[in-house]
Amino acid sequence: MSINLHSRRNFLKLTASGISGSVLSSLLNQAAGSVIPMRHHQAKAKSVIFLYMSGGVSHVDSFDPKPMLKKFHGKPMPGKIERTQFDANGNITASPWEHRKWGQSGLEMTDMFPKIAGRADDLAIVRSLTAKFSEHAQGNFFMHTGFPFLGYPSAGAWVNYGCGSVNPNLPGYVVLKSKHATTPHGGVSIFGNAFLPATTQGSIFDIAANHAVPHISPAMLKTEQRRALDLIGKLDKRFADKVAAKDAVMASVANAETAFLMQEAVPDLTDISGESAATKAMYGIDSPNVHKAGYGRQCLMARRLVERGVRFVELSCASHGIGGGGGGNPWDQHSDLQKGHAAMAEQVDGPIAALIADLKQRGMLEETLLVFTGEFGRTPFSQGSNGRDHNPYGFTAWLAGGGLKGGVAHGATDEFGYRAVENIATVYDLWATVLHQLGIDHEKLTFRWSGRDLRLTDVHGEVWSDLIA
Amino acid sequence: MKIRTLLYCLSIGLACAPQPAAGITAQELEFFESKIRPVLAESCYECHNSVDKMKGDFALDYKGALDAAEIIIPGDPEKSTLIQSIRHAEDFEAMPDKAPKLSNLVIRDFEKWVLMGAPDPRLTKPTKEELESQVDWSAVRDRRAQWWSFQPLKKTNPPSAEAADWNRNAVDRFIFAGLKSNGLSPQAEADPGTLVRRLHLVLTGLPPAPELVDTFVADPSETAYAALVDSLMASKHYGEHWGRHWMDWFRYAESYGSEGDPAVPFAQQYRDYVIRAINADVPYDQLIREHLAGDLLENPRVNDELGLNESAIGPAQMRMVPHGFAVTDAYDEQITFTDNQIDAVTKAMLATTVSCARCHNHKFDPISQNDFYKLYGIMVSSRPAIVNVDSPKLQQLHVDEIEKLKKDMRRSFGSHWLGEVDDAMAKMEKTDLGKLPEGDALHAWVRLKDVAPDLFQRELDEMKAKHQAAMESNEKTKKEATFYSDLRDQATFDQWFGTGNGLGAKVSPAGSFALAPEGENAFTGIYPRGVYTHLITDKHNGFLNSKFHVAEGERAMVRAVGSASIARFSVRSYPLSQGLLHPAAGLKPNSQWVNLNKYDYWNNEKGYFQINTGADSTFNTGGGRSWFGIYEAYAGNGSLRDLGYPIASLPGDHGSIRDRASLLAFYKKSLQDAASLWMEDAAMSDAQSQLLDAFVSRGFFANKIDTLPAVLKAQVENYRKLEKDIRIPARAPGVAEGEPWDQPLLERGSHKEEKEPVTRGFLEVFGGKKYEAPGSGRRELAADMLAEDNTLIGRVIVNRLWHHTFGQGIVASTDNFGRLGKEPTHPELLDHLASDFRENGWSMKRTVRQLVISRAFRSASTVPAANGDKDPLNLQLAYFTPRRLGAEAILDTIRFVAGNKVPERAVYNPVIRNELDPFLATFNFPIPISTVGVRDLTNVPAQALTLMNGNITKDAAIQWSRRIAADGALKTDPARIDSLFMQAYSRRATPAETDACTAYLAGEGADAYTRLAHALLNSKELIYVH
Repeated sequence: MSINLHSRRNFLKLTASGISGSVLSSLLNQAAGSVIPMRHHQAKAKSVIFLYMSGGVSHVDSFDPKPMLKKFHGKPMPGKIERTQFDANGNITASPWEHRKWGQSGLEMTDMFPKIAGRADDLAIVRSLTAKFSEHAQGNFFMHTGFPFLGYPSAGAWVNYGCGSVNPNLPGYVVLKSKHATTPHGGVSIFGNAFLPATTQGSIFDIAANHAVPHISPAMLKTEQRRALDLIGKLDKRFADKVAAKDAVMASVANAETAFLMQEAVPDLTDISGESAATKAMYGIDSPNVHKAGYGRQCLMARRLVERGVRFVELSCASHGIGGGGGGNPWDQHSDLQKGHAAMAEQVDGPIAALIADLKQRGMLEETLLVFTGEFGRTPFSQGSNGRDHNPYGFTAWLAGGGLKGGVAHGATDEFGYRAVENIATVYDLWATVLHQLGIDHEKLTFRWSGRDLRLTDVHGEVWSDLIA
Repeated sequence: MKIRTLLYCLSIGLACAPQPAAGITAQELEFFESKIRPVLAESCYECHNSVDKMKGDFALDYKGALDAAEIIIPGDPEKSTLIQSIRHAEDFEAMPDKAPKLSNLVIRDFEKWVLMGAPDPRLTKPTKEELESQVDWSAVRDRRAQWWSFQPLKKTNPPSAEAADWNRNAVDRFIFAGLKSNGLSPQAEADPGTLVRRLHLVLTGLPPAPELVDTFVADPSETAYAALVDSLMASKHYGEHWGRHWMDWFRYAESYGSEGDPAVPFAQQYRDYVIRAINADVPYDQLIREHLAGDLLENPRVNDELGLNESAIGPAQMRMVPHGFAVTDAYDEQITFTDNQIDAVTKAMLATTVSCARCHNHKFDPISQNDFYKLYGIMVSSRPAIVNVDSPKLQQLHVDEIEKLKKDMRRSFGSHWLGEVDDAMAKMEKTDLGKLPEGDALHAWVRLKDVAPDLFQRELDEMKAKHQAAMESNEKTKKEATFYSDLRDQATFDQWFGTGNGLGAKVSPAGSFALAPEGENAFTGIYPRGVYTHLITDKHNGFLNSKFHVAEGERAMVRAVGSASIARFSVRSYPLSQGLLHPAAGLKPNSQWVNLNKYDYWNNEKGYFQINTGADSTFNTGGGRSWFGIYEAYAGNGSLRDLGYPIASLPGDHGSIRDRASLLAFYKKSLQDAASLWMEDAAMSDAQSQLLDAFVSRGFFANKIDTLPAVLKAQVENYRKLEKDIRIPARAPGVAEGEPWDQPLLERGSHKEEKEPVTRGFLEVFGGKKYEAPGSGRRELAADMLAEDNTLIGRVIVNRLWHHTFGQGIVASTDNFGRLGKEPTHPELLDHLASDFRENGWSMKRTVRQLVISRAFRSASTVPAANGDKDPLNLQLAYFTPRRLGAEAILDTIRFVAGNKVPERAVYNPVIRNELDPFLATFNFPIPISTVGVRDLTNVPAQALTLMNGNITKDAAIQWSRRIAADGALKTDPARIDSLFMQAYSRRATPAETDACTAYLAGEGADAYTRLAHALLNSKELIYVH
């Protein structure tokens, strides 16, 4: 295995640095823009759908209900309080949402996400997740890349580096965006490939725009473009024959052909006229709530992308502009939490539940791993009168499908939901588990850069084996 | 690796039981101790020990464990799994894991040892301590320092080449020798058209205009070639292209990234500095000195034309770090950005990954964890700042004249005011002053003037008592302070760290004054003793900070005045102020204690007080006039009140004050005294200065310009004329000397585990000099970087220049000359170039000229048929390796071709971390986070889509085809096609190409030429240098 890994690494390094050695050419020609898959063990999942809740969902109001908050409502928080970002810490605040047991499994959740809670028996909830940063951009980078600032590959890029792409006409990592959804704080580098091959980078599909991918709309008619490409191909062929860069030039010609095909693949993807009325209704894409309709369309698109072999799809929430939640951090209710979280939950609850149901009924849930998380949770005590501040010391993520058990929980926070205390989990563990389900040993998925063998999980990461079916 | 899989390959070996431990000879012992144990300890024990980690279920740290592992067959290296593993033999797991292969010398030692029968003196299982003590760092370091790049440069005479055209210079001779010894033939020279294009693209990042191609093709002589090289290297476009390479090495960016992506203020000053420096061929040693300590040079490099102190711009590279937003863990943030500073400096200058030694000694190179923290201390002793980079001359412009003028004005205004005392007193009496704060010099007058005579004394006493009590309370608070600094005291002020032409070395005495540069009044203010920035002009700047202080207590405050300036408590040198946690307080023209918010939040964190003129804030790019004055800084649990300067603090016979009349008399006498002292430039008290100011600022003493006698008015006008000549300083990001700081080593890199402080200094492998002189150590660092015994500095830069000329460095890993990097393909040539570079004034242009003038550079870009596939990566340079252009050169080329003139160049596009230019990013513009000596050259569909469907090629095609259409000289399709080809490729179309293009044109409509131009803009030949 290690021999393969080494040669594979060298191959990637060479292609990345564009050395025009003839040894590489055939590979480049075969798969302009794809990477060779690697598996360390039998994969259960083929794709990941990352439901990123930018801004930070309040776990104590949703997936990690805490009766003690009601009991101690209005009382000062006991124990040491870490530095918060807005430094306006108030007293313990009860959740405005009621909680109960859901499904056969009896997982405790509030009714903030009633439809997702209705899928309780499909969920593997991690209630002891921790992060290291109280600030959005660093939190976003950390959650996506394992490092707090730009320059490191996003999980989606690592997954593609490890698993390779199936569909040469679509990028392997797609970030979906609908109206009013903007890039989380930190910018597009949170979806970046950094030092990994550029083919692994996240491509943003704006499904509200006319052309979902930059420059995907042909500048001319297809026949005209064909003629142009044929002429360019002739010129390039002559150039390739003339200079000692034949392989690189021809790979780039092949690439232009791939691009040509992508122009068709993307419109085909976004054309949902073939979906049944029932399906569309289930996802809520005709909802009068434009945010919900947009998120519903993203969920549907996520399924269609996964169907087409895309490895990693990330969804983006839209902002309702309530209580501090802006475009880059829609869940960020430093005030008006009840109103803001209710609106945000309404946006994603039905569509996500529909996505789970739809994947399940199509037999796809087993090989599609859903991950739901924000960059941190929120404090059990108030910020100001009716908000909650950032809390990276203990919060909740949930996963579903992809060979994981349903109706189970991992870890716990303290009685107030402030700090993770049981089975303390890290972002590294999350990605170690995701990679594991994809058949990859996170410790072996490395890339040598800047003198070090770098990993998505840095030097950490434990697989949550108790969640694996 | 599981031992079982190993054993599978070794079935014969199983039969041989290991020899029982027996006495070993002194010779064997010596061999083991010098050759075997150190390698086992360094490369194997970490994973295979009997204390805490037994990978594969075996340990190698004592004889018993080694025997039990059954990986050695004493006397038979070939059958020993250990030997096969370290040889990286097929079917054996390559060891050590995740590390470079052991050197052949070491492998031979192990074979020898096994042959000897693997004598092993380690008879007992080691304890944890014993295990640790076996890895002697200095021995490890010294062994690692045997790596080629740490060896002294070797000077070898270039071997002579039998081919005359390869015998003209050292580069060619070495290359030719390499070709010969590898059995390779050199390729013939490229045709002149190809050469002229290659030269243009390599030297300027722009293709040649067709006219230039024609000229050179008509006369491709050696003289013409040399002239072309010289003219291209003299063009400003050279610096725009090579300056961008430099910016890659220092991860140039104009924003800090993270939430809000705040600007690096004045970042572009650095970009322009680099371009100017490359164009001016500033010696490399000078640039390195400037990059580390340019603000501290005694004889800075001055640009008179722009009025800049160029040297002072160099340290801007230290501020090209990323920053987190509104960080809650400031120490962690400091580690992150300081690590980035160290990373960029050591990679860019030394191609060494010192950053890898943050948590432990370097895994492969002779760099210790101490080395990392030595540099950390230097960085933290140099605080984030905005630097005034005006030339010394501009910084001092008219300062002497204005100082002299101000002296004259004391006399003239002073005597004029003394003549106005009665008048001024009358004005005071007449004027309704409203309610005044207790600290105002005229407060007593307002308070007492209408008090009934019998209550007068009581009121006065009450005022005095209250003032006395408030003073005592302040004194008590200061005594209990966790931090208190009285900047009015010269010795205390000397403990602060200041830069800026507004700040002198001395505390300004009471009576110091500032003149108004505009408006109806002559004076801005007359001040008590303090530290001010605007006594010449409020265009001058000031940046002042305190020693480190660990925050403790409820609040921090400064007593200060100012306009458009700020004060803050900077936690762990965090320079930003976005969000709530790192506030900055704006200063106001009236003196007061200003609260520095969030100090309590940062209790137990280390920081420093900072006060600066507006544009010198490290977190915004405000400009314009600004000034401050500061008196005291405080932190603790109390609160201080500014008591101002009531009459109680004036000298004089306070007992004489009994009623309104005697109060007036006291004021009058005090006013006369104050004005006389001020006029004479004699020592006066703060209260006297403020009494004077109270009369001048209210116009009781003449201050309005139109009320002044002609002589005084002329003085004011003269001041304003001089002041107008002074400019708002040019600024750059940079660092300022702060408290020299030896950073405690952080165990495993964790800031929660501070160990002993590490004295600042240089890398052990180069002698590890300690920096104990006053100052951050940046000057010493620059000297050590450039010292003769630094084996890396010269090799690294000439290799970088080689890389950007030939497309691949002599050392392919331009940013890593360590064990994980590549070895040089031509070590003698590299050393020759590096020595030559140092000996000839560190001229980068001279080196680049040597490279492009060489025969090797001029080879055609095809593989010589005779060579077959003998050197597939063309390491020996039998031919010129064609390569895709860099992102900026692609954009510039497309635009140049469209207009046949140099466009606004891509190097000037903004570099915003969270919004990198999409076109450039698509073509591998590097993420500005770390040194990039070799850019990626990827091949992805997004590139094809950008060129096929994007606006840049679309617009260029329209412009280009219009130009062709408008050219009356082009009458036929073949002529027009030829013109397009000359423009795009510096050559004419072949008949087959003409036919293909003609056929294409025939199938298109009215905009056929736009379509054809667009196709050519999508062709690979356009974006390749070959």
